[in-house]
Amino acid sequence: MPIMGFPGFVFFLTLILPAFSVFAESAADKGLAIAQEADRRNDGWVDSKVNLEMVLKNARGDESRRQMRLRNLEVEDDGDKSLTIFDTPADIKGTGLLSFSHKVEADDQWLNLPALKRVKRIASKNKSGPFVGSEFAFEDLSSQEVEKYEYKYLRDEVLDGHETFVIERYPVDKYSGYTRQTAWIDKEHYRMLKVDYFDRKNSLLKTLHSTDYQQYLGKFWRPGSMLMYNHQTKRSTELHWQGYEFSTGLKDSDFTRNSLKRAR
Amino acid sequence: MSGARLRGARLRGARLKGQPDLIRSVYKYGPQPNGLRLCKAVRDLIFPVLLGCLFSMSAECAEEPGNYLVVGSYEDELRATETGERLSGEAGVEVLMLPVDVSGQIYYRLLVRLFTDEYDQARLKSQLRYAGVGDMWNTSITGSEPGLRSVFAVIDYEDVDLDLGLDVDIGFDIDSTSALAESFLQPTRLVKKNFLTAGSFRDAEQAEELYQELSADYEQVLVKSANVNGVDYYRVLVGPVDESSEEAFKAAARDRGIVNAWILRDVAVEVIEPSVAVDAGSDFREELHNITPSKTRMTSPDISRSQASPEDKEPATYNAAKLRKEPSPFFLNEIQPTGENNGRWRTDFAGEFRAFDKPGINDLDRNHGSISFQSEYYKTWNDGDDIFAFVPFARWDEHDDERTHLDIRELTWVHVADSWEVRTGIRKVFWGVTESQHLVDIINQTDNLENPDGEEKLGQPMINLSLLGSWGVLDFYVLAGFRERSFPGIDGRPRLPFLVDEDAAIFESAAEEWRTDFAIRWVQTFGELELGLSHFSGTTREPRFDLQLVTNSMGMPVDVVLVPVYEVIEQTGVDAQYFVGDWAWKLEAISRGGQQERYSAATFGFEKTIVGVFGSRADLGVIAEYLYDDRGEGAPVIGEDDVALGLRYAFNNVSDTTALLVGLYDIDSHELVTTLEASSRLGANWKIIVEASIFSNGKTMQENFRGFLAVLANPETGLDFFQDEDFLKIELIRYF
Repeated sequence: MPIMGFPGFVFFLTLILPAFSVFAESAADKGLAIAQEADRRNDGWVDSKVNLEMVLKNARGDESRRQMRLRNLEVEDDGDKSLTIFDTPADIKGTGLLSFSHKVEADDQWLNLPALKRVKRIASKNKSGPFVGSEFAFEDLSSQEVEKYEYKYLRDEVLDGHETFVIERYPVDKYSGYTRQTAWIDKEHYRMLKVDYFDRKNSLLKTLHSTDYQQYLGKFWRPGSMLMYNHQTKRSTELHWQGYEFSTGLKDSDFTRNSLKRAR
Repeated sequence: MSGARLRGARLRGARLKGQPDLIRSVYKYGPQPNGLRLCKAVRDLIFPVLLGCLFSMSAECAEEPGNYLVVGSYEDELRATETGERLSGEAGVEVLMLPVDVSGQIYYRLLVRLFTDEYDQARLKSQLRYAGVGDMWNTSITGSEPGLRSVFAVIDYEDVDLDLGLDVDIGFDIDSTSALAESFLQPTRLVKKNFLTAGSFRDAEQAEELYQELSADYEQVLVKSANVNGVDYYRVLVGPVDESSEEAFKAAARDRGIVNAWILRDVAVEVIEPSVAVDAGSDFREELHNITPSKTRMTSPDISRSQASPEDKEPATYNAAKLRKEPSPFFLNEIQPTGENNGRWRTDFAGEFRAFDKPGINDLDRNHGSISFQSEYYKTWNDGDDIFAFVPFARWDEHDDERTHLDIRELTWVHVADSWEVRTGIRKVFWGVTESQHLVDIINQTDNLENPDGEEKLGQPMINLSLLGSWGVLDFYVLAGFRERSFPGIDGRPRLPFLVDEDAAIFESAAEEWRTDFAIRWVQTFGELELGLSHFSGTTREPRFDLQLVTNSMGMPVDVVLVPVYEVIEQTGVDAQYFVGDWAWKLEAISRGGQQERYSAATFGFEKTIVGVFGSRADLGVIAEYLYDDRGEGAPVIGEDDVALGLRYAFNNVSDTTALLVGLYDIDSHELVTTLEASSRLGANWKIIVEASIFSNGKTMQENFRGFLAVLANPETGLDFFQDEDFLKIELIRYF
């Protein structure tokens, strides 16, 4: 008789327990699953080039604009590499920023100062500092790897006519400027539509809206516009992305100190 | 088959534009059940009168009082209307127009209601700006000002006769009476439904094109026209939209490509009822409802991209809510989409003013002005594999003729391959990691006239081969030709009390300034450690000085001339950086032989960056370095046993304002040099740089020939000659 006595009972449990766990999927698991699916849907873009215009606005309404060109390279099993070259304002024309992001460790960053012909490596714990004076921190713009956060699924919600998952994510890196972030990810395409950022005191600091999503190569969604609004200082930064090109043939050698030095 | 289409067919050839409603209505309906036709005729007789009254009332209708944003002000009413309509479409908000009398001139102001929520307000403003609105300012209205009207309060929508191939669209022969008769016999009734605006045109053809494109996708596609101030606008509507699923409908439309659309409510459409007798009474009441002015309602704002502004295009082609096709006009023409910046010049002009505290030991002018110019021509081809750059520089100095100089900073061609690069021409190369002095950096000659701190360099002709591998980067340099250091002239400041005779320079090498020098450098990153090793073999960039006495006829020395001596040296250097958290540890060390005895020197220190100092956005960097030279006090350099302490404050603001305060302190002689450097952008094209240096604790000396000679001959001379050279410099740069 197979199932008899205590050992048999334990054996029986091991058969049925996995079935129970399917029904008891935790909020953390579901959050992670959503993040992983979003990441999967964004796999395989290889490399990209895009132009970016940034409009910085203070509480009074004064504006300042920056234009830059970005190149990105997808790296297997690690974060992306990116090279940003500034075009305006005129005094920082030709300044370049090279960034290697990693799954868990802090990003490596180098700044090229063309006037001095000097490539300066930036202390990598600077991720919470503002990117060129905007409301975007370095960590907001570096590639969003799944491993950088812990997740918790909160609820479903309808946002701007889209059905979305609302998940909370907690940065793993202790140097992050945020305690947590709330993200709205649409169910249909797993695009990040809105993110609320909570600062170190756990009060609402900023909100990011990504809109004007367009699909490229029949698979990858990229927003055309992003608005980051700082609720505490009433400052905002808009990003307008234009001219996305994918799989343009960029290689690792295009993302080196040498390529940073010669980019203008 | 929608009633609208059929009606359109019937109207073909019968469009009577500009005729009063009465006549038009007779043609509108054609053969119909008598009762219904009568009701409709009556409606069209009576109601246009009522309509007219209502129209005139609504032209001055009461709007909601409150705070509004003025987004435009025009003298031309038509232009105001056009712009208001476009903004309403692009920003998804209702726009009001208010005529305002300003000193006898009527301006037509466009108003947008302000949100109470600041966040929504910011989004609205960003949409408006994106739609091309420049200045915006707040105003408040009572709501009943004369002439105040909603730019979209289109009262009377007419069905449009699209007589361009519409019969083909119908799908049956228009002359076939049986189908027509069938349709004529079907009762229709007017209902109000909500539709989504898919496009708004001034050209009927464009409207029809869009209509054709969308007609397969929606239950009903209508083209309605409105006459605003004598101009016909043709609007393409899709729907009908169910009130409960408006957002979903809009979202689906967005996915289909219809952006900047808004819901138009209570549009009267004729719906074919399947053979049900219509109660005339209820019809009337319904019609009454339909006549009320239908305004667009504000839907939840969407950040959407603007199309080209109407000024850029033919008015007839302008479409307020259309399928996104063209790229955003937001980007300046000079930026090629993801291309390199090819064949372009960048220039900047700078005006510099230096004010010295005292006349100094040489009794010179205290105020020095100068202007400088630098340009850059940059071109790439072969997709960035070949690069050409040309950077000329010139400065004109008010007092010092030596300081008025020209230089070619760069004239170079770079060829890039996968694992190597070749760079030829006149170039500038920087080696090193420390902040207070750059021991390892040797390739370029210092442009001593620009700034005595040694940060500016002259161009150096060279051929440089760079090899890349997983083992790091290896650079070989063949330095063709040598550039002598230049020194201030008799009227220049700061300078030594004796002039330098550059023409009499002595070279160890027989080839003098035509000698070819060599250098090699290897760098590699090991995680948080960056290491560089270098070796230079050639003429030293830093001369030492021979004193030549100038004697008078009696053999008495009356003057001293300093003659630079350039020896051939071998210098080996190492530089390293190690990052630990917020700390960057730095080291530079050299060993040089050939200039008299072999000696070594080092700089060691750290830079710690505090991000978000005092809870603000700013970063504070703390720098501390120790400078050492084993020649001791006798070393002809500043840093032989010195400590440098610095604070770097980056405001991280929109103007990229930074400030750097450094104190360089000599441990033995107690001399101190304090320097403050601050820079900030002004507006978009200007930059201001302020620099101040104060020299303190120097030894006093006799300010005469003997005194100077004594100090100069003393190997422990530090900055004695610069004690009275405290200065403040302001430089204003304009970029083109």
